[in-house]
Amino acid sequence: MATIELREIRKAFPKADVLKGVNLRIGDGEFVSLVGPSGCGKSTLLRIIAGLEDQTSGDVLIGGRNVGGIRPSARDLAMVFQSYALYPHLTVEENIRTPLRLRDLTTTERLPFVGPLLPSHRSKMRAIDAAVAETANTLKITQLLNRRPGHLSGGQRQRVALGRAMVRKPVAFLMDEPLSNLDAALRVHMRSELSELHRALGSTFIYVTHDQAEALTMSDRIAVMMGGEILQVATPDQVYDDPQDLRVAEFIGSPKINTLPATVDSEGRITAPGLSVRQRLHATSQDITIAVRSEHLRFCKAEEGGLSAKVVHKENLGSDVFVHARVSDMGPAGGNRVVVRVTPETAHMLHVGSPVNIDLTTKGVMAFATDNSRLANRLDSTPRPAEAAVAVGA
Amino acid sequence: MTTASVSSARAGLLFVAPAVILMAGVLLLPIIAVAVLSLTDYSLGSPEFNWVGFENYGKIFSQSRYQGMIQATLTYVLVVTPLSIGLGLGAALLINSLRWGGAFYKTVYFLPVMATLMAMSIVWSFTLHPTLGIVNQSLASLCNVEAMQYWGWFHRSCEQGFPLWLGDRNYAIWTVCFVGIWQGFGFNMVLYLAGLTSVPSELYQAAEIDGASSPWERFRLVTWPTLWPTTVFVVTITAIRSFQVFDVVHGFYDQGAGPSRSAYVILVAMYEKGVKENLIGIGAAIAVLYLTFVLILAFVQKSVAAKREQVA
Amino acid sequence: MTAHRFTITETLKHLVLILGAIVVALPFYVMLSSSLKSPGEIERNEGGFFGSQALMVDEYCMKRGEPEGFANGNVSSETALANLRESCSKRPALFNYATAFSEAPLLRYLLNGVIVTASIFLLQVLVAVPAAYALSKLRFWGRDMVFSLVLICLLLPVHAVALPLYIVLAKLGLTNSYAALVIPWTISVFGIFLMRQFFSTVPDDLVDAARMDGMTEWSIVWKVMLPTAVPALLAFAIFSVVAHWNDYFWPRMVLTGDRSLFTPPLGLDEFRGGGGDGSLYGPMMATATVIVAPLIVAFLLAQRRFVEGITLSGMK
Repeated sequence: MATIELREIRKAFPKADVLKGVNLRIGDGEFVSLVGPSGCGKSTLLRIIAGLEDQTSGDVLIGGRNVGGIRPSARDLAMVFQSYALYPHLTVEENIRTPLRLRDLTTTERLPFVGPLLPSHRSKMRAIDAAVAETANTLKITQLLNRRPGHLSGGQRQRVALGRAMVRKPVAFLMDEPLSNLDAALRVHMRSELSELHRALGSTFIYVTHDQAEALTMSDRIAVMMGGEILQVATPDQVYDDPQDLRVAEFIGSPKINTLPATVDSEGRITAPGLSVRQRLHATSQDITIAVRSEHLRFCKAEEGGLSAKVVHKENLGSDVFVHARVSDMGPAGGNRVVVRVTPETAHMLHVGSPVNIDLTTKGVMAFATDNSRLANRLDSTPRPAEAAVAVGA
Repeated sequence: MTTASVSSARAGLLFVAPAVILMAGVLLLPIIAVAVLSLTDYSLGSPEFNWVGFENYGKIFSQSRYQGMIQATLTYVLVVTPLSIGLGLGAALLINSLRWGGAFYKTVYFLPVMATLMAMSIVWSFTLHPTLGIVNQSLASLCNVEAMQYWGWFHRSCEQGFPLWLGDRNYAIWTVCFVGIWQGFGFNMVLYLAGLTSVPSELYQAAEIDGASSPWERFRLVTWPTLWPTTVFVVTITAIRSFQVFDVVHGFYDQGAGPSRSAYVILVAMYEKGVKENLIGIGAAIAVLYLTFVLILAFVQKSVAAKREQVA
Repeated sequence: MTAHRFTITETLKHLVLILGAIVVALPFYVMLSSSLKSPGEIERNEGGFFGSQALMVDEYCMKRGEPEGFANGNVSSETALANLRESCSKRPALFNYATAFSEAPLLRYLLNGVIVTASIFLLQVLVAVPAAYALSKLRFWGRDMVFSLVLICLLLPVHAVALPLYIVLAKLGLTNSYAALVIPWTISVFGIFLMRQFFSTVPDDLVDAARMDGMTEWSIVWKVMLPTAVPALLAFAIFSVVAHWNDYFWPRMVLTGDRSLFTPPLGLDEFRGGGGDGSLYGPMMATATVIVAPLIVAFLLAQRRFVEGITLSGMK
């Protein structure tokens, strides 16, 4: 068990800077996801923590110890890879045993023929076999121990890879997109299994993914990375509800958050086309972007005003329907696409081509400056809760 | 800089070092050495040598002995390359179109590729032995057959005896060529068979629907274009291998080069001059000539292949 | 109608292919058959494939007066001669093969062939596999340059450098040694190229996982990469062994006198020149059979692998 601290990690390749000074403190036993689009540097960061790659500058501290110059295997970490990286020529048992053999047996003890004759070999092997058996038992793969990876399904390989990581009882687990080679149903299932495993082991997990849903469902905290930087580190709720950067707001959440151009006047009042925005900002007199999640929009009657739009597509998910509408105002928002999340009953009344009016629910909008940074609200400007129930279809 | 990249770099250099040293020592430096030696009159055991400039090359291009060498070599290459490719392609197409028994022919035709060529050359020389050989004995037994007498050559041979395949200067190089083809066409056949499996069968059906009704039209339209990359490769490798002919000549003629040096091919010449007669300078010049032939072929192949990639 | 025509073409195809097969197989037939027959049968071309296997008298045996202690040469009595004749009578097949092994140290040649091909292959693997791993999975200065070097060397024919290598070996006094037979072949540029191509398909994750498990780069090469590359290695083994078992050119260059170093292809020299009367053709064909047989038998047992291995050069 250990904390992991990253201080000003930079990584420069001849052609581009992959990491531009990353700072991150991960608490003991915490589950932290590094999430971001491909090429954002998240995998490189993980590999630097593992010691598989060197940072150009900056320090990695594991349990307070600077691990610069320490070999990957000596950092007491375990890693689970996207392709599982099981040794194809070894059985499941041998795969899981390998890290222990290499760590716990001396070079002489590992010699073929000679090694097993040494007195220390036997007791050590007994301990190793017990550890392997225990791990296999935890992961329910005991019946697979004699098979080779080639004869396992994707899910089974995934478990073996986990087993190989678990068996060494590392201070932290590093996971590089471990679920992305699984099919959709299994992926969802494995999310909850991984969460359970994390709770049971109580170790630190660092989990790299490009799938924001995985990050939201499993993590204690999420670090959203883009362009070699961490944009925000926060709990899933905070990242979703209170993103500090427009790029974070856009990356997290499905469907993608709605954005509309707007302006803010000298009093901090927001003027957004059609929408009745009540909150006020500290910022004044500039162009801004407002962002609002699909569940915080509603359809309203034409006489109530709102953004007039035309339904272009209905995406039925069963429990909810995402209604895609194109803004038909001639203003700056004209032509923008807006997604509104409604109940199937509401959606039933709408058809592709129907004209609709869209307004906010009580939640309000998030405002971002042109440099993507979040603009804070004035404290007295939060919307009144009385209007919460008004969500009637057009 | 810390461990990961340093250890990777150290291991990398360490791992390629033996290979690089050996490549330099066994291939690259000797190439330079052979070029340098070809400008000298060096011989093993003599304390000194002289620079003779291009004299060795001058000899190669003026003396009849070496003109004979070039003629024998080119004859061999120009006969063996097209014929062993044609036979290889023909065998592959026939075998591929068979409903059964293809595997058997494939095995038989591939046997000579595996067999020790030196040993098989000696067996061939026995098989073609003028009196004991099964070939001439069988031919002679056909002399009783009326129909064969209409073939002028056969008729003459029945009266004057069948040819000394190895000993007659008019036949020697052709016999060497024959064994070369016998040995090599199975290799080409296998390459073509591999190429043929990459032709999707839907293409044949599409071609048929498009109106390519005869097998020949389908071959032109579908098979040949797919086999073209294989052919570029097969032509080069067969030609390069043909330049290497050595075992057969030694197998046939002990240490010589056939009647009137009619099978004095390039490597035999190099061995004879460079090793047996210890005229290293001349041997090296022959080696350079040989290298030039091979490199020209390799570059032609690369450029043809590259051109094709551009088009595709 | 169509079915009928189809059978005719099918039959014609078989006819052509059988004709070809007869020509291709002819020397194998002659070799095997002659290795079983008596000199008389060979000379008169009779006895079918196996020959009659009638007892024949081994003239060499008679001359030597062996066995049975007649070595001192005072064989005078008729009965002793008859005894000798009887003890020197052999079945032709046995005579041919026995002579093959006794007239020349054929067993020695075969052993040399095994030693040389095995050493060459092992050294090639020892040099090529780490290099191939480095070229495909490790980042180091000069990597691209080394790979270009490999591609250039791939084009160079080994025969062209035979003379300088021969001179160097001669200067070092290494001609007529195993070293001379093996050293020039320790580097297989093609082996490096082939293994590199194969290693490139192995996911980098596997290498990283091995590093996390605590393996050194050296043990990653042999314990992780090599086991995953078994098919490529097998193909390369066949490629290499066939080439060097059958090689005649290089042993001919560097073995000038010492027969005890002869590899199988040189072993047939023993029987050449002599035996114009056909008396030695039997043993000669037996020798050829023994030399050719190992690879042919291995090929017949594992055809697919052999065809793959030999056509590997098609990957260049």
